[in-house]
Amino acid sequence: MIRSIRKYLLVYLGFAIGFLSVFLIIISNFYLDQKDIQQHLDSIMTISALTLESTIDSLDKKEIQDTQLRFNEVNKTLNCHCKHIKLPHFSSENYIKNFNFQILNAHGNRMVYSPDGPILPPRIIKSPGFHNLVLNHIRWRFFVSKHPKLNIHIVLGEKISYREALVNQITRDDLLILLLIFPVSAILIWFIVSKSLLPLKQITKELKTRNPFHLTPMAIKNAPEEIEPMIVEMNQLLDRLREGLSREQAFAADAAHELRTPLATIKTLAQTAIENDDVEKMKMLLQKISHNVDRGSHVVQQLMNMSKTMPEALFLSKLEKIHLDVLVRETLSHLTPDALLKNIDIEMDVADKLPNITGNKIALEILIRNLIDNSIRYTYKNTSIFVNLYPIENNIVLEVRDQGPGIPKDKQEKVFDRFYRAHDPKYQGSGLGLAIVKQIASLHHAQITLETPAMKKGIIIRVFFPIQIQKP
Amino acid sequence: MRLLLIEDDQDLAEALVQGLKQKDFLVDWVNEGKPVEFFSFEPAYDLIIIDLGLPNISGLQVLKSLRKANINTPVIILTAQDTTEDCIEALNHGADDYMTKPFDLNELEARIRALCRRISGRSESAIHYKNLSLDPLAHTVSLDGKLIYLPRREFSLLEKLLENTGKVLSRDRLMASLYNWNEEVDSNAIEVHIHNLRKKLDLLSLRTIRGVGYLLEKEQK
Repeated sequence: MIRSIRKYLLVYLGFAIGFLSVFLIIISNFYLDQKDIQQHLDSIMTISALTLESTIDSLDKKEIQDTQLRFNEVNKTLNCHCKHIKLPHFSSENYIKNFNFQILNAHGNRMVYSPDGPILPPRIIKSPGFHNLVLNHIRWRFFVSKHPKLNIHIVLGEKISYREALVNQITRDDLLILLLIFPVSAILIWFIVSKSLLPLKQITKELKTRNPFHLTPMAIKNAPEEIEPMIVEMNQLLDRLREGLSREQAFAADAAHELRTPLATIKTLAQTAIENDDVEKMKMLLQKISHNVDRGSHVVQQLMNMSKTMPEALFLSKLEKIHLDVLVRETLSHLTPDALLKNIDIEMDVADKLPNITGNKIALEILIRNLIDNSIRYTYKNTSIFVNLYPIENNIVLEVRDQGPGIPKDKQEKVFDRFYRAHDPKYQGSGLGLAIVKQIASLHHAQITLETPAMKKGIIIRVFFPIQIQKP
Repeated sequence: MRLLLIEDDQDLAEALVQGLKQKDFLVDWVNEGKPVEFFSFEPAYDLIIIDLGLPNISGLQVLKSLRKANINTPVIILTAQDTTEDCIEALNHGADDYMTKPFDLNELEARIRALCRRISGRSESAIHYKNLSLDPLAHTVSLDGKLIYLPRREFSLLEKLLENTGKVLSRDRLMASLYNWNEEVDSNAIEVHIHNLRKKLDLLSLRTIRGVGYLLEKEQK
């Protein structure tokens, strides 16, 4: 398996081009060229015969004999000529042996003829035209023409093996030239492929410059059609990466920020305690340290919840059918002890035949817990919290109502921001509760509304879960 | 020394008030940025500690308005941020120092003292006056090399006077630097402290300017 596209194309295209052209040339030479050569040689034979024919005007015996004598000398003359003009491939003897001609009289007797010419059967002489014959194990092609006035026959013959040798020679020459195709096409393929792989090189170069601090999309302009979809996909990936990364960074910064205050408090208290000799005071300081550790733990817990429910994290976990009422009941059972401490009643009302929703169980549990935990935190002592679940149109509504200080209209938008606290610092939340709720809600395509009740006491938070939920 | 702490986090503020009190600072705490008028009535602070991350008016805003109103009390910024950008901005807008949470209480103390020292033009923490020397760090006073015990308020009063030799300090100002807002104070408390100081330290150069206040004469070199 060749792992380089360039080498792959080079080898396979090279072989493909090479074999295909060899194959085609052989076919063309043996079948097509041969036909052309035959035709060509046949027409030369025809023209030569006709030319001969037209040069013979009379049948003067003496002249014919002289002519025959001169013909016998042709071999010698040719040899002389060969020394001057150097015929390629074939020696003069071959030429002479391969061709012959004869002029026959009406009785089939040879009048003038090439010295080595074979004697033809009479039936051939009587029929003008082309004939293939085997005479003495030699294959011949003859052309017979008849002089219209003198009633003589002119016969031209050529060895077929000569013709085949010619064809073979041409084929060999072609193949020799063809061998050049391999290196030349290899070089061409190398250059063409290199050129067409340039965009990949550019992308690699572009990608090399990307790092967590530089995730800008790559330029699509001028990218080849085949590579553009890849760049588009990669850019989307870069986008998602950038989003995720900036969320992570913001998260880390927020986490550090939020933990620093309790840590500063603990450090200050501890140092104060170290330099204090009063045992009672020291105990009090240690109590405060312990309280602040709890506070820090709460922040850590909420930060973990936040990170657990980030889109990147939730994307990986599975979705399942959720019975919201079961989940709310479970969560309430965990939170009841906190409520009892403040003497708070929690009343739950669930509509009949509540449909399921699809969602992430862990995330939804955190959402419900944060909503109810918030209510317990902020509602006044000896009051009630109402948790309702009911369907409206295509939604299931989770409604939590408390009787606390409420959230002023101008702050209602901001309470979903991370680390925003609408209330007096004495409530000491993490500032993350509602931000997490919003994050989880939006992952489930749920809407959140805040409403101040008519009595202006407390707040009603409603989360609208669509029954037909899309994949987050 | 009297400090003002502007910090929104109740736990941290209480811890700081207590911790700094143990180091002989008098700390007033407000839990949010106040309009600048609030400070113009309180000229007695030696130093203000501001948390940058206040809920309503940001710490930087408070600092800017202070400096705009020509209140030049030294300011230390507390920040929970990891980056120094906010601190640089605060320093550029008149903060004198900053500390990143969580900080070391002893370091905070040292920085507070260093700033106050620089404001009063000293480079050494101990103050020397004639045969008297006061070490704010060790919280000791010695006369001719002999240690003399002074209660906390008398010590603070002496420190204030030594830092302002040659200046008349009003009774109200001295009161403000010795007592918190909510402390019940006898009307003649300052007179009692002054009397004690004169007696214990034989301070002839501590003069009463009738109807105005008190003056510790500049040392004749």
